[in-house]
Amino acid sequence: MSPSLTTFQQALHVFRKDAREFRLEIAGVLILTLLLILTGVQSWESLQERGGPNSDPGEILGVLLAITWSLLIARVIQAEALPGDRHFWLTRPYSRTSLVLSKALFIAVFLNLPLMFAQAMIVSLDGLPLFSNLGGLLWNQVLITVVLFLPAAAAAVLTRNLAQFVPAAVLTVALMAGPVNEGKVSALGALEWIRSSLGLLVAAGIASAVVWRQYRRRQARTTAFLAVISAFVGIVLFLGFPHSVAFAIQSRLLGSHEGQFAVQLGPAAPQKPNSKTLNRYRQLLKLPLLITGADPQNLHMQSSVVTFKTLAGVTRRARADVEPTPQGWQILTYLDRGFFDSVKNAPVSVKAEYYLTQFGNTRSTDVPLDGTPVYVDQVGQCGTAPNWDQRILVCRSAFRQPRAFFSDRLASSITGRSLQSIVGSYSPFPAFVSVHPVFARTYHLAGEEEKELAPLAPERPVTLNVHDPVAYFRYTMDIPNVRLADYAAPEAPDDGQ
Amino acid sequence: MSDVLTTHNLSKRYRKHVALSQLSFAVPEGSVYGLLGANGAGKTTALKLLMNLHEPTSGEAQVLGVDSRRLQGRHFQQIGYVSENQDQPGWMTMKYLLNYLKPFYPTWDDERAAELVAQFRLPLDRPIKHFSRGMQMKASLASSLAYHPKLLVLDEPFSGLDPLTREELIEALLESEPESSIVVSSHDLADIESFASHIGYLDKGKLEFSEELSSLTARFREMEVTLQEPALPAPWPSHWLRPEASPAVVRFVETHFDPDRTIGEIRLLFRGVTNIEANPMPLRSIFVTLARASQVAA
Repeated sequence: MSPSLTTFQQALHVFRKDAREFRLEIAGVLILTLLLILTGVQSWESLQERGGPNSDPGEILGVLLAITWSLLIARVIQAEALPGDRHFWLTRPYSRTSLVLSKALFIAVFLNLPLMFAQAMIVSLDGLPLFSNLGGLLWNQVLITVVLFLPAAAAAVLTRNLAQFVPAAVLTVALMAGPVNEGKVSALGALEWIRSSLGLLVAAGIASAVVWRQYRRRQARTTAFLAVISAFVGIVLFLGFPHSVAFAIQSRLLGSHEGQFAVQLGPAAPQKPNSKTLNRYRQLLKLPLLITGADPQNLHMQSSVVTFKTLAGVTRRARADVEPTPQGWQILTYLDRGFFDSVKNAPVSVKAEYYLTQFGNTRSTDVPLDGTPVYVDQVGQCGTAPNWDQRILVCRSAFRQPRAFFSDRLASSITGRSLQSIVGSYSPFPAFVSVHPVFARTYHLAGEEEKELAPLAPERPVTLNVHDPVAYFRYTMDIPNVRLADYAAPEAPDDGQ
Repeated sequence: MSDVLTTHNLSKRYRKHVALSQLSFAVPEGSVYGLLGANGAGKTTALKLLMNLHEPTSGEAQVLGVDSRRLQGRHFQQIGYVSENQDQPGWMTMKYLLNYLKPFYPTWDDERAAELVAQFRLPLDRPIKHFSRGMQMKASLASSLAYHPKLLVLDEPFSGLDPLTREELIEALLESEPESSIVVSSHDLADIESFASHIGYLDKGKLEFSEELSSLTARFREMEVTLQEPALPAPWPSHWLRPEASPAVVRFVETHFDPDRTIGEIRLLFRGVTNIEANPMPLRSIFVTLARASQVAA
């Protein structure tokens, strides 16, 4: 009589069986992962020759890998399918814990590990430091597992075969689309990471609960019903996630000490004669902000709403954006034409609320113009590269977008005007969800003349100033007796950034 | 002798359809219990409830002393389940299947496994999905007998098999006695009759009877009564089934045969009885009688 297998021994036994059964599928995944390395690596030299980073490196392979991973997860879980009553394992001495362990082990060994290896290879061969990005490497595995592997496993434990799995997976992808798009869809701007992280946490919770419940109780219909209901509640909460909550979380994380500065409405900029036909429905207002006591470059502003109130008590609330200007910042908002025309010359009180991030700990790094890359702390590998008849700045970082920085040499690719600062996500996490580990961004450089893009041989180096967000708070500006006509701006397509 | 399996008012309802109603029976240790019934009578449902593949709507079952709803992995080290509806891991060869299953069972017997493979003439290196249906049943049975289960549950194991294959399966099952108690569902009466010690008869989800085969065959008799003046008495006793009358002879099936009582009852109900014959019935005839009676009642 041989002794019974322990839980882990049984998990290993099932794992070995799965590895043998799905050896061809595993080979397919490994080949795709190898292709990811082969096509995803771009040395700095090849970047120079190409005139910039590869566009969307690994995107197609990333999609292919995601599909292949999902199908492999479905196949390996459905090898011991949970729904139904016909599968042979149901009346064999399988321990459910061993079964879950074996499937988790399979995913870790044949999906996570090859991906980690490929990402480490790409980061190293791209010339980015691997050791300082280990946190990102590991965190990215956690994210990929939460975003892809766990939902795929949840869909697989609810289905018997691939024909059932595919529609379930499509539904799952649709439900996951919101939280995954952090950095792409950004209704909350730099705070989007808070909503996305909470969304992913909820999604991971639901997927884990589905897997746990199915392996424990095998009640596919009830579990699927509960999962779909939970997912819909999660989506409603995700879509309606208020900025104020994101603010509260962000300000708690960063701190929100009282600012040592004041923000006032600045004098109206001289308006150019406007030959364009007035917009019949709305009026663009540009309200310049004067900041005293702080360097505008150390501030990032995001406005939520502006309220206009006449002496007669008539009020209008309008959504507003804040954009940087050479002098500081300005609020951009629209008023409906009727209201504007009736109050434009009357005293109006303006109340603006905006979210303000204060940056500090500024470090400067010069990026040489000969194309030699420099590793800029928290931004990544930065250098210049020839691009047609101009020179561009390229920054590459591993596992997440470069953090916030500013430079007087950054230019808008559209207008050539100084762009000054680049604000990324405020996420404290070391990685975004991505199969390809290297994020590259290109920036146009302003030349000696303000409106010219840098020629191939600019004269002065590019200084990148990296700063960290140190405080995040809400600021309310209440200014009486404003004459709106002074701030009316022509609405023209070439007037914005 | 203790019971390896008992059920008490076990019921299963799928929405409005009652698949099994108030099923109560016991399987003594070492016995071969044949669960009979027409297609759709609830045999497979009953066995799936016993194996915890479905949850009962009400009632309970004890399998090897464990509540069937709590039956889990480790309990199956002593239970074998073979079903015509079971999906086998078709990619595995017979050799791989046996090697794969072996570590799951502390009582696995390599010699017995080899014997069964040889007895069933199973090819070791061919994937199971390429086996014929009969071979798949043999493979399933071989992999279930190799660890000497205390309880073997077989759901329609002979359905659609050729006579030779059936005989081989039955031989293997008989060899596994008495260490294994067997519950076998079937509508194939001839096969069950040859080796079952107990019989339960399910009809439309209800257990009509459950008893030892010897007592069942003892209480069923095909009665032939020769009369001077043929006439069916009224009221007709409910335990006399399938009455037939010809000019001088009345035939029926007595379901509670007792020589003295039955003959006394016949003489009481019929006038001018000249001869009474009580013929033993094969299980198939008993089954057909009960099935027809059930149809008439419906």
